[in-house]
Amino acid sequence: MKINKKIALQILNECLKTGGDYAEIYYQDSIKVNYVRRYKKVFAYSKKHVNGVGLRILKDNEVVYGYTADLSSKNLLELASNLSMGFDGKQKVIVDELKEEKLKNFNKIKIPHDSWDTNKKFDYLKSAEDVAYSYSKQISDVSLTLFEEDEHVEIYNSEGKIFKDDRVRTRFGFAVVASDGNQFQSAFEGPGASLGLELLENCNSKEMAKKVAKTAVDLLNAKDGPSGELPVVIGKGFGGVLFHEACGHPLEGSAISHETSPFTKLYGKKIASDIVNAIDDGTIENGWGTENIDDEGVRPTKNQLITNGILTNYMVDRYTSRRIKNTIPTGSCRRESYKYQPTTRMTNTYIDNGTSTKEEIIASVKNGIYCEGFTGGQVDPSTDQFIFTSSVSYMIKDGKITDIIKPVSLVGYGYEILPKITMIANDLERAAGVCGAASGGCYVEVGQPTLLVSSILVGGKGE
Amino acid sequence: MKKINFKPYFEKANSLKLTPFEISYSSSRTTTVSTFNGKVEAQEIGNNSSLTAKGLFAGKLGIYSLDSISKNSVDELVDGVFEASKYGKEEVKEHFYKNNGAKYKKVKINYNDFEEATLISLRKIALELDALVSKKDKRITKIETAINMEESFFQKENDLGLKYSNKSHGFSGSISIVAEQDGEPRSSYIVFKSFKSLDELKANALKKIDELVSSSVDFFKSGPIASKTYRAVLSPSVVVSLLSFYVEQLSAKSVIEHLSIFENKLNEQICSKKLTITHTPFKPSFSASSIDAEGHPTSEFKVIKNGVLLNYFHSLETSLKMKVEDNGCGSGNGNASPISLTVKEGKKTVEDGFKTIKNGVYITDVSGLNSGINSQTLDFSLPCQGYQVKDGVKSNATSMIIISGNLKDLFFNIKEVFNDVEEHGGIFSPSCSVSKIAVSGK
Repeated sequence: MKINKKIALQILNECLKTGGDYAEIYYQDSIKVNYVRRYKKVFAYSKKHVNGVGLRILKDNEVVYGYTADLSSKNLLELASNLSMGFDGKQKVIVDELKEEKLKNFNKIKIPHDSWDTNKKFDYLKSAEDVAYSYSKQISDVSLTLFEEDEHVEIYNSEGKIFKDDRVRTRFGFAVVASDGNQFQSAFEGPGASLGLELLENCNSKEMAKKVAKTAVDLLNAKDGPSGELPVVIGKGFGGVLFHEACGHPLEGSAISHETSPFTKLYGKKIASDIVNAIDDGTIENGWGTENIDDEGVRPTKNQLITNGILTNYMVDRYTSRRIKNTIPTGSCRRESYKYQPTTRMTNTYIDNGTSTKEEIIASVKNGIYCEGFTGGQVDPSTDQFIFTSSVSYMIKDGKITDIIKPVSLVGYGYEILPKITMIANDLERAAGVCGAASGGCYVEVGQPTLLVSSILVGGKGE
Repeated sequence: MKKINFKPYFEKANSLKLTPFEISYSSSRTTTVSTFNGKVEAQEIGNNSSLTAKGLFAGKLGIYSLDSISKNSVDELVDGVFEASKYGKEEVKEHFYKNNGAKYKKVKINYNDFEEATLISLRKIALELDALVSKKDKRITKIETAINMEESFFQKENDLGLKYSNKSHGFSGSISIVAEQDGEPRSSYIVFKSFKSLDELKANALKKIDELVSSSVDFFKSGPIASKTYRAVLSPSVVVSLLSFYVEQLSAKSVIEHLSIFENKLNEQICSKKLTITHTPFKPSFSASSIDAEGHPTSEFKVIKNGVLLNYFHSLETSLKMKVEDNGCGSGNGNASPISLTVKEGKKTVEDGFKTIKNGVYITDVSGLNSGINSQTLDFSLPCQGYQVKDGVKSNATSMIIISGNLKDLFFNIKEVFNDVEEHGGIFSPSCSVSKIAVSGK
């Protein structure tokens, strides 16, 4: 523990001296290591030590936040004092004791990052690189990354509680570029989890290398995608970025509390077709977005957002729950680092399994597209307009998958798309990503089974 | 914010035979006030600091960085670099900047004019702007403002003679609004800045408020236009958004690795003859800098002249490999990218442009840039909004349309460059017209 209890008590009381009704100290100590192979050699190996403190004070519907990397007691007390000047009143809450709370460990680690030496890790990357280059002479660039994070977080709050969490994360990234002399095409896979190096042991990196290389090469022969409103089959796994963008962000407390979300005041109302069940689950064991405690000291939950098409909950934090009636924090208040004021963010968010099969869904489409891979997307929370880009897509003609097509964008409004989900398969998969929003880049999982949206605006270059 | 004495770091690095050894320190203090619908909602005080060092040992590069600076930092940082160098990238000492007396040209910003503000004055301006916007149109239902003051300090030294430090200050702000009509929400957003004072910041905000309001209320009941190829005018912000991806392909690193579509294209026409683009690192913007990420002095030079590619962006590594002079665009790890760019403006107004294209579309806003542009292939497919151009005049608003194509083709298809220059993220550009662009709509 880098901040002792006595100092923590002093800081919290300093924060609260002008009438704040809640205060918290967030301490972060994280080592991030990046291993990169590119151009058939070690391209980068770097370490970053992120270490600092964020102080937050709430008073009614106002928040004051400050952060620093100067961890001396004097500086932290000075920051607390400066922040308290954001309010002008008399102390109402006094903290006289701090007690550590026990946490359930959702992220058991079998192989810590220091179990392999650095050469072994680079050798692992190299073996996958060799497979990719040997797949085709058209492979012009292969970039492999291994990201490791070992993070220790401590939260002290004015409710007299201390939480401590050790967060271990590993992600393996694989990017391939293919070229035929006239054009370049690229493909990417990036599995990640709150695991140690067992992620690498469990992951068939050579098969993945082959798959990614094949996709990049196939795209060299892809035709231009169609444009206009079309039925779209969204593939399992990272296809869940659809829900993440179109529905997840507008269900976050910040959008709901400002009433800028189209789902504001629709609690208990129908917002999606009957077959849609959607969940934000911060308790998935070893999930990429799972933490044993969120960044404001609330335990994670399995939060059923949509049940049979009906909106059954929002995602809220201590601050936004003050402004949204009848809500309690859902354990999903997150931030990239101590430099960010925390706010409600998704954890592991997915649409649950349906009863159809992928084959039945494809067979039901006369003229549409099947989007298998995605690069990401974004949404305007106030209008719910989203965009996400399908990196690997195919035409569907008369119920059969035909030609591969170049990347296309899918654009729409979340509240219009959700009722148009007409079939959901039973092949749920989840995938890792990094979501950038108000409190920085947070590790999240998106997920879904294969599903059919009866029509989405598709922006390809073809007719 | 004071200079750090790097001497103990260099002494320790020297004792470990880590040489060359380079160290950078950056620190900043930010104060931000945010309001929502006429009330202060959040106040933030941020104290950033970061030490990053890199060094060479036995031909391998080690890199380490840390935030929290204490009496242990010398050991942690230098030992961290040393450990990392055991497994790092193979590197040569020539990829560290050796200063043989070169001077750093000053950016054209007078930081001495800076008038420091208090938290109270930041709150006052934020609330004033909120109130001003709310009076503009009754359909505006949500207003969020953020006013920020930042003071920053940067110091970089190495054992090859590099010694640089710089202080900078500035104010920035943003206002986002949601307007609603018959249950239909429309949003828009502006940013504004000043290197001098809150008063100037406010004045700069006021110049943009009408645009902020029209960018939302004009789009009520707007919808997509028919899918087909259109003549188009692209607003300055749209040109900047697209150009920022296009110029990534002009990195000499991409060229050397055969990953650029502009390989072997020096002195050839790569885009419309109407385009002249200059690297302008000293021009006032928040991106302006006298030094690149490798410590090399930045420089002003023509990148593209009348459509002809004259220079790639170079780092120490790429300039050595291509046997040319480093032009001060090193961005780390051998890569290169521009600090700031200026697209030469034309003489005609954007209204003249509407007359020239006669019928088409005026694209004022694109989104989805992170996923909608493939930076490798330059294929793009982006949702956007704007206005129809009918009989040479800006007409009805249109939204929920997607523009798509390839940026290489798009920049070849530029027909005219206008005189309405705006700066966004260090790129100065006017609006441009293009002879054709594919639009997906209804």
